[in-house]
Amino acid sequence: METDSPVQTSSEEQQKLFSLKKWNPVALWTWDVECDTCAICRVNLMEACLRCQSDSKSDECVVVWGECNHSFHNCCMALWVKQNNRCPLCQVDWSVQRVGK
Amino acid sequence: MSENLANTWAELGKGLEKIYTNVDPVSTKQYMELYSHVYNFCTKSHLEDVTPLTRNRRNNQPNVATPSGAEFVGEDLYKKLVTFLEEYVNELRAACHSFRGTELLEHYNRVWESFRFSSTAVNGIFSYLNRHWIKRELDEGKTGIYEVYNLAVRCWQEKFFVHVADAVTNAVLDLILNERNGESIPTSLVSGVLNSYLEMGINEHDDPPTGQQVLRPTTNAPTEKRPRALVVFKTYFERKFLEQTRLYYSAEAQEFLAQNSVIEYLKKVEERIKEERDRVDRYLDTSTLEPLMKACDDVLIANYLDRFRGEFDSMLENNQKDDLARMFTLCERVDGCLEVLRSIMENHIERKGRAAISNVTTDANSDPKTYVNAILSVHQLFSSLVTYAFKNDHGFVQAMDKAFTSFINRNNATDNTKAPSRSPELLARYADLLLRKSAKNPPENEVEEALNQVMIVFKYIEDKDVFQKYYSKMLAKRLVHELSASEDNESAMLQKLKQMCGFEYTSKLQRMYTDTTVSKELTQTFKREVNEKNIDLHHVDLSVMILAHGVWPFQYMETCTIPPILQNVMDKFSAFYVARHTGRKLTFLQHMSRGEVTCNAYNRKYGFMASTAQMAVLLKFNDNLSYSLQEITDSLEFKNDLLCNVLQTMLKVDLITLSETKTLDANTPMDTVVSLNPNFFSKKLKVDLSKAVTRSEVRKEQVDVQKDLEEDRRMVIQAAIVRVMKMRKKLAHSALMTEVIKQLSVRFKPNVKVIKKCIDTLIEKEYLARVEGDRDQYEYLS
Repeated sequence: METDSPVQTSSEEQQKLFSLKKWNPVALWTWDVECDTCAICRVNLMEACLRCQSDSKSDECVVVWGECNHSFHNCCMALWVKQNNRCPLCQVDWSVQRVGK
Repeated sequence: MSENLANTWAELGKGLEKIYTNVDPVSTKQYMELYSHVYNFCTKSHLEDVTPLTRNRRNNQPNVATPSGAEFVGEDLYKKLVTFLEEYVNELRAACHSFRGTELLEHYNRVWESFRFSSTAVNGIFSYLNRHWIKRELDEGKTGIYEVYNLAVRCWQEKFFVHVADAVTNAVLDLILNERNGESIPTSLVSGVLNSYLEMGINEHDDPPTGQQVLRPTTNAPTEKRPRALVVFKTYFERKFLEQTRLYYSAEAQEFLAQNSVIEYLKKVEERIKEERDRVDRYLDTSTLEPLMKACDDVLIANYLDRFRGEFDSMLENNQKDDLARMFTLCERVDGCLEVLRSIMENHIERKGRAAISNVTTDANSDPKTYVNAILSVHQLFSSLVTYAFKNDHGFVQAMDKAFTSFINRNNATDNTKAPSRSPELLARYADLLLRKSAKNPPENEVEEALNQVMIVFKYIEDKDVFQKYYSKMLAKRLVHELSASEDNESAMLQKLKQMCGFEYTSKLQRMYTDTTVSKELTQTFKREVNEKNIDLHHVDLSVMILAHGVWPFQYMETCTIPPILQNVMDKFSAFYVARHTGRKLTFLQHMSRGEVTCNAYNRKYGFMASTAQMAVLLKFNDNLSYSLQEITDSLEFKNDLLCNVLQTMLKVDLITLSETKTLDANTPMDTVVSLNPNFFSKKLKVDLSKAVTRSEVRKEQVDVQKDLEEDRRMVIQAAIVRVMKMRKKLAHSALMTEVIKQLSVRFKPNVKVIKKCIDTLIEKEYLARVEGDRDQYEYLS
């Protein structure tokens, strides 16, 4: 049977025996949060809050971070601040640091 | 007045004589004369006796009491008529004694027919009497008075019929017996006789139908026939007829079965029942059909149920569709009969199913296709049988479903392995085989059909949650590694599952699908940005998959240090991603990521599909052609014995060689040297190193699923308990159990012990409490 034998390539690009051609990396994304449950609705932040789930608006249900770095569902917090403008976890005055996207 | 009567009767008597004896036909003129006699007699006497009171009556004041007989004359005439009829009928009876058998019937029919016809005529002649004197008597509620035609029939019944009834009926029954024995008989004789029996019913009353209005007293048609009651017919004929039928057929059945098989017997019974039905159509009253059929069913079918039962199983065994259909149609006629057959069939299918699976058990564990096809061939057989022979009878379909549920979920293949939910796993693996790119798979439309078949089996799976777990694991792999054969089939399958189990069952699977699409777009966007901003990706063609955490059945797993180039590429992508999606972070799944490495080591330019870890190892050969296992482990920081798996396929295709040993496993000494094979050859230019699924991987999947499953089920059970209690507030233990089991049975068969544990957990967490003083009750704490 004819076999190929290793050859030393002369070309500069092909100096290496093996070179990377393609790569299909797989990664999981999560919200960058300290606690993965929304303290207001008790649902995991990776899932939509119950209101959005039942209104089938799951795609729009994002996470919000306060300056205190606590995070909740944006829509849960929107309802919360109407009654009490403090973070439910640390009681610091609530101000939005960033909204997830 | 008596003179008047004598004169009138002299004429009438002669006329009646003529009409009844039927010597020569009565002309219309004569008929009119006779009518006039009656009319004159009644009206003349009437006029003589006119009183103011009767005038009042004629002025439509019917409520005024009148002395009876004072006004409507007719009683004398009526009595004369009665005497005449009785005498005439007595004569008829005397003439009848000499006849027997068929001759008797012929004679009876002849005499009856003429008597009946004559009586109709006489009824006409006396219609004035009917309309006035008789009607009045009837209205006043007198008994023993009849309209003329009815009177004649009654006379016939009392003075003639009751004396000959037994003889006539017996002659009729003899004829029917002869016909059953295969002779042809003059059926008109029978029907004639029976019609006379029915006609005699006009003077009898069945229980008056309730809710129907009582006949108005002022009916203008006194000759109108009242509905005939069946009393005479039933007493004198039907009762005996049914008795004879039972005797005849029980004797026949016994004799026939002594010499023939049940199968032949069924044919015979079918024939007999059809004959009897025909008989009713041809010459019996339709009211007889029901009791006759009942009699036949009792002696021909219900009596032999045990024999049928004995035969049914072997008929199923031999798939004698027509005989089974016959038995079904016959047994359908008898209450409670089908239940017996259903349970036999259920046992039979269960046995067949288990046997079919035992036959393939050794293969089944490694070959899902064989396993599923074994189930499907049993299903094919019996569902077509149930349709053909049992007309898709609800009970049979149910029995079949029960049998399938039973053997699919508990059989040799499921008993022999440690994983208790083998069926859903194998079914999911089979679905994966169908949906995965493969040269072996049939064309797309056939795959679609095969997926429909998968759903047939799926319907019977008890642990649908287990199927979901495996299905999602395999769907995840298909999507991530782009192994799906057809997008249409993938989404069709999801649709089918959704239809059967609802939105929630497939919502995660659906989201996986969405993630895949979004990732493709993301890759495109990233590539555009790479071009625009001149980002250096080291000539690596990148295609990313970004999956939502918690949706995909993947877990983070560390394998080894990845090549710096790849790390760099990944960092660049992460930067791009986080910039677009605020607040997100990415966890790189090394073990799921694959790529292609070009090899320039041989004359032919090979491309190796490899996992990231394999890529890392291959790149090591750029520096050196041989390493000891220890060296690779150290330099790439391999975790545990993962290196072994990574090298396994490379060894299999002869890309690497080992010093001293041919096999590689956890016990291979760490100083074994791995070298790149200088003589590597492959027919294909693309060599897939990542594809082979090892046995250990399958087993790991089973362990994972089992572990997840218990935890998941506990959550689902707790949720169900809370749902039920929230609605009921207070509930007894057993009622709670029943409802929870009912709610969950669509997904899986919950274990009672586990439910109890879950209740305890919830009490601990203060969702529930036991009711004070009644420990068997729970209440919901809000």
